[in-house]
Amino acid sequence: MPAPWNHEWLEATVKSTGQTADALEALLPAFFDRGSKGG
Amino acid sequence: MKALKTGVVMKKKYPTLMHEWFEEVWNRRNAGTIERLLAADAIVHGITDESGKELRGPKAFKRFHSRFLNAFPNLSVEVEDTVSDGDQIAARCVVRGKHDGDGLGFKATEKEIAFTGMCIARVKNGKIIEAWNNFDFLTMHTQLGSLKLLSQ
Repeated sequence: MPAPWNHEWLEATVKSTGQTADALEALLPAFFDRGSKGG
Repeated sequence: MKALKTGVVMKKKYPTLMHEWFEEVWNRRNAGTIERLLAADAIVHGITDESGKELRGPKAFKRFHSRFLNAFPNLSVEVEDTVSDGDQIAARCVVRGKHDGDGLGFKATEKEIAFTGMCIARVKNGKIIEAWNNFDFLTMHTQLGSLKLLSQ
C-alpha cells in the first residue's frame, strides 16, 4: 500500500472499494458532514 | 521551568515536546529539528514512504517532510491540545495549507486544505522513539478534489 498522503494511495483506496471515483465523490460529503471536518 | 544557580528562573520556549516538534519542524521548516527530536532508530507509524513502509529515523522523515512541504509550501500545523501520561504524549492538531506544488504526485490544484490529526509519541531522553499518527488524509484528498482527478 503506498503512502496515505499521495496520489497512489488514493488510487489504490478507490480501487479497493470497488466503486468508481465519481461514485465515491458523490458519497463523501454526507460522510464528512457527520463530524470529520477539519478546523 | 528550570531554575539556574543564579536563582533566575528560565521559562521553556515550548510547553511540550509536541509543541516544539510541530512549530519547529512544520511551521518554521527547521529540518535540523528532526534530527534533534527524533531518535536515530525511531519508528513513525501512520506516515509511510512511497512503498507504504512506516518511516524509520530522521532521514526517512526528512524525505516525507520535504515532499509534503513541496506540495504545501505555506503549510501550518496548529497544536490544539496535548495530553501526557508517563513517557507518552498525545497531540490533537489541525493542518492547514494551500496546494501549490506537485509533491503529492499530481499537479498543484491551488486549493486550500484544513484537516485534523492526532499523534501519540513515546519519548526517551528528550527524543521521540516511537510515534503513532492518525491524520485525516482522506479529507485532505477530498478538499483537493483528488477523486475528480482520478476519474478524468
